Amino acid sequence: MNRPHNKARNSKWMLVFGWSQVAFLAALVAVPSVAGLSRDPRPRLPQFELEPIRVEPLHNNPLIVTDEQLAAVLKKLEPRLRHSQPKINYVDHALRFWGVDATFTDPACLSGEELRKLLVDHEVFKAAWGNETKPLMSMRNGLVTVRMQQGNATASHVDHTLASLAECGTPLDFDLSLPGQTVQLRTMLASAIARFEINQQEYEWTTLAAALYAVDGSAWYSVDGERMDFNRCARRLMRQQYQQGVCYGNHRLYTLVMLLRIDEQKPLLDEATRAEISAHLREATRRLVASQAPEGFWDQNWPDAKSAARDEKLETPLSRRILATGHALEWWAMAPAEFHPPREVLVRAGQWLSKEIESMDGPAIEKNYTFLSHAGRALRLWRSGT
Amino acid sequence: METVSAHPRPSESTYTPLTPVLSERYALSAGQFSIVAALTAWCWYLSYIPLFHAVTWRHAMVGQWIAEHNALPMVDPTLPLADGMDWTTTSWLSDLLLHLLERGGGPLALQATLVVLVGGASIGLARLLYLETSSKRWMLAGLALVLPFVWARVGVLRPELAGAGCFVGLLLMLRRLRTESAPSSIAGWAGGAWLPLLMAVWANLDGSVLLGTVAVACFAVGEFVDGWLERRDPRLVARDADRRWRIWLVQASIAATLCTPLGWDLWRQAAALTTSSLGTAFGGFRPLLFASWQGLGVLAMWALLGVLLRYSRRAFRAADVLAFVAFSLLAGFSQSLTPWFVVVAAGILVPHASRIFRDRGWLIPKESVTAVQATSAFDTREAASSTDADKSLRAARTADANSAEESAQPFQFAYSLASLLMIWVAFALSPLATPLLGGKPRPLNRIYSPDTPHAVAEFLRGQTPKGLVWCPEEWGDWLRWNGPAGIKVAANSNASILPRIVRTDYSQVTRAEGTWTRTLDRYGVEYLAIDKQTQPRLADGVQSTLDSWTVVFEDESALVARRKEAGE
Repeated sequence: MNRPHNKARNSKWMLVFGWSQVAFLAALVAVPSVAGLSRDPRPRLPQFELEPIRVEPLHNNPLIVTDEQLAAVLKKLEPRLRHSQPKINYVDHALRFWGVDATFTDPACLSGEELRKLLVDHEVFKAAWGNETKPLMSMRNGLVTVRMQQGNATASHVDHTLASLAECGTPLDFDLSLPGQTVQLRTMLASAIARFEINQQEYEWTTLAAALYAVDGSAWYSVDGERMDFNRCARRLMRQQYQQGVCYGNHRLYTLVMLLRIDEQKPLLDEATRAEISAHLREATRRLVASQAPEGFWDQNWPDAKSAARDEKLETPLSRRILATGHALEWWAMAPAEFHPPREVLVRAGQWLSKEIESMDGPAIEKNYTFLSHAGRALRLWRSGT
Repeated sequence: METVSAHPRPSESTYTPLTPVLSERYALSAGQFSIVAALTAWCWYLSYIPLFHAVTWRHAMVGQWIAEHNALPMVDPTLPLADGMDWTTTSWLSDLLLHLLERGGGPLALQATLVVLVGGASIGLARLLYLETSSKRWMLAGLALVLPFVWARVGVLRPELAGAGCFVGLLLMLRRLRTESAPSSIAGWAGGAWLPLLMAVWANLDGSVLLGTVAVACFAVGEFVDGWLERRDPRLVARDADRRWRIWLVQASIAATLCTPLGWDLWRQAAALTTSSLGTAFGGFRPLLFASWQGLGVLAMWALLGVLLRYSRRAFRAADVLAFVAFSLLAGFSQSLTPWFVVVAAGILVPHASRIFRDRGWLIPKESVTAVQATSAFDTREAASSTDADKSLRAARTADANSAEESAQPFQFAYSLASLLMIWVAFALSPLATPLLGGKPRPLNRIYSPDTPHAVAEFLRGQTPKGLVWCPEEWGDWLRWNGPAGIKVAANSNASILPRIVRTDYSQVTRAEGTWTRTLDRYGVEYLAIDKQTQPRLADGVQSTLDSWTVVFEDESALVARRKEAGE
C-alpha cells in the first residue's frame, strides 16, 4: 500500500528538486546582470558642455593701471612670435593672454587665431618648427598627448595648452589636426581627464579646464578607480604650503578663485568646500598684505617675507618679482572684492608692475615672456570689468 | 564538579566501590590526556603572544566608526589619502566586536579573543582530523602539517581568525552532512538550518566566507558527481532523497551569505576580486611563488596527492578533489590564501596517508595489525558490506573496551581530573587570569609587540599635527589609534587600497629616492616619522634636508622630523 504512495511522493520531490536547480542556476546567471554585478557603472568622465563657461572680470580700477600705462604695457607685450621656431610655451601663454580674437598691426605679431592654429594644427606647427621636430600633439594609445617640458617646441605646464584653449572660449567640437588624423578638442579634454590623478605633480590647469566645460559637479572615476570631483580637486589645491607648486603656488590660488566663480554659475562645490576655499584665499591675502615690499612687489617668499627669497631657476630678483606680483594681481583680478587686500596694496602692486614692464627692453621681455603674460593679463583684467 | 554518588559510609565488612555518576565517555585515556596537554600548552602559548601594532587597531577603528555612524563606511575612515577609493569593510561585525571588546576589556580582552579564536580553530581542526583518521597520532601529524603555514598569521588578531574558526566549523559540518539523511519532519528540516546559519554569521564576520562558499560549492558539485558515478545516470541523482537534501542545504547556505548589510555587494566584490575591498582583504593579487617555501609546500602537497591517488585504498570523493583544485587556484591567486589551502589539503591528504600506513602495517605495533587491517577493510567503501570485516572490527573494539574497563577502575577519571587541573593551571599562569586572580599587570612591551611605536605616538600626542604624518605603513594603524585625535597618516595596513601614484610615491620616499622631499611637499606632509631599522636611507636623507625639515624627536629606533614653517 505504501510503496506507490512513496513513489508518488518521491516523484513530487524530484520535480521540486529539478525546478529548484533550474531556479538556482537561473539566479546565478540572471541576478548578477540585473544587479549590475558584472559591469562597472562608474562614469569615467564628467559630463561636458560644448562651450566652456565664460568667467568675466569683475573690476575696473584705473588707479591700479591707467589707460596710458595699460596701452604701453600691452604694446610691449604683443606676441612678436612670427618667426622660425617660436617657443611653444610662449605661444600658449600668449594665446591665454590675448585670446583668439586679438589682432595686431605689427606684422611680427601673430594674431590670436594664428596662435591657436600653431598649437592645434600640426601642419602650421611643422611649418614653424620644421619636419625634424616631433609634433606638439599626437595620438598615443588612443589619447591625445601634448609634449611637455622637452625643450622650446613643447609646452611648459601639464594641460596648460588645454586650459588656454578653454579660457579663450574654444568649443569641444573644435578640430585639432594631429599628424595623420583630425580629432576634436573633446578628445583632448577626455585624454587629459583619463590621465588625471589627484596626487599628480601639476593638476591646476587640468582642474580648470574640466571645471570650465563641466555641466555640473558630478563625480567621475579615474582609471585607478579613484573618485574625482571638484571638491576633492579644491582640497588638493589647498593641501600644500602656500609657496609650493608651480609659479610659487599662484596657479593654485588662481584655479581656486576660478572654481568659486564657476560655482556661482553652475554648482561645482559643496558648502564646506566653498567655506574652506574662502578661508584659504583670505589667508593668502593676509600673507600677501604682510609681505608686500614698500615698492609694491612680492617675491618668491610672499607667504612670509621673513624667509629668504630663493628660486633655483630664476636667479634675477626682477624675474621673481614680476612672476610673484603679476600672478597675485591676476587671481585678485578674477576674485570677488571680499578677497581683496586694501586698495593701496593693489595700487602699489599695479603701479610697480606697470612701471617695471614699461622700462623693460626687448631682450628682457623675451626672456621673461611667460611671467609677463600673466602680469599683462592681470593688468588688462583690472581694467576690463564693469 | 561532583563525580561520586553520596552513598552512606560503608563499614569495613560491607565495603562496596563507589559508583561514578558521570558517563564513561568523560573518562580520558592517557593518549587523550596528552592531546589535551598539547592543546592547552598551545592556548597557553597563544595567551602570551603580544598584540601586534598593526591590523587589529585598524579594524577596531573601523568598528568605532560603524558604532558612531550606525552605517558601513564607503571609504576607509583611517586612510585620508584613499578618500577617493571606493572601499567598504567586508568584516563589519568583527570590526564592531573588536571595538566593543577593546572598549570594554582593553588589550586583555583582545588577547583573550585571540586565544579563543585560534585555540577554538585548532581544537576544531584537531577534531576534524581525528574524525577522519581515527588516530591521535595522525591527528597530531595533520596539525603539524598545518602549523608552519599558519604560524605567521595566528599571532595577529584580525577578522580572518574568526573566518578560520568558521571554516573549521564548516568542514566539520560538511563532514557530518556527508552521512546525514534527509529529514522526515518539519523539525528535521529546521534542524538543518545550522549550516546556512553558520554561513550567514560568517558572511558578517569576515569576507573569507567566500572561501567557505567555495568549499560548500565543491561539496554540492561533488555530491552530484558522486551520485552520477554511482548510478551512472545524472537523472537518478534527483531520486536520492538524501543527496537532494544535502544539495538543497548547501545551496541555502550559499544564499545565506547574502544576509549581510553588504547584500549583493559582497558577490559583486567577489566578481571583481583583483580590485575590490574583498580582494584587498585577501591580500590582493599576489600570485604564489613556487620558489618560496609556501610555493614549495603547495607543490609538495600536490606531489603527495599523486602518491596517495596511486596507493590509497580509501575512496577519493569528488568533493575532495574539487576542493583541492579550487583552493590550489585560490592560493595561486594570492599567497596569503595558502593557509586555507593547507587546511583543506590536510583534511584530504592525512586520512589517505593514515590509511596507507594502516594497510601496510607501518608504524603500528604487530599485535594491533590484525585488528587494524580489519578496521581498514571496514573503512573501505568497497568493503562496506563485508560482514567479516565488520565482525572483526567490532570484536576488536569490544575487546579493547573490556580491557580498558578492567584496567581503568578505580582511577578511570584520573586523566580527566588531571586535564582539568592542567587547564586551570595553564589559565592561572596565563596573563588572562590577572583580572580574576590578581597579580602584577604585564608591562607594555609584553602586552604589545616590541616594535610598537609607543614613543612616537606619545610624542605626536603632544604636537597635535594638522597636516599629514608620513609614516611606515606598519606604524600607521597604531599612530592613528594611539596618537593625537584626528591624526592623518599617509599609510597603514590597508595601504594596498591607496591610488597607484600614492603607493609609488610612498615607496620612493621610503627609499629616499629621487625628488622625495618634493614628494613630501606635494602631499603637504607636516611630520615625517621614520623607522630607523627599516628606513635607514630615509633617516640619513632627512639629515641632509635640515633647511626645510627639523628633527624634533629621536630615540634608538625612531626619528620624527617636522616641516619648518616659512621663516623658521
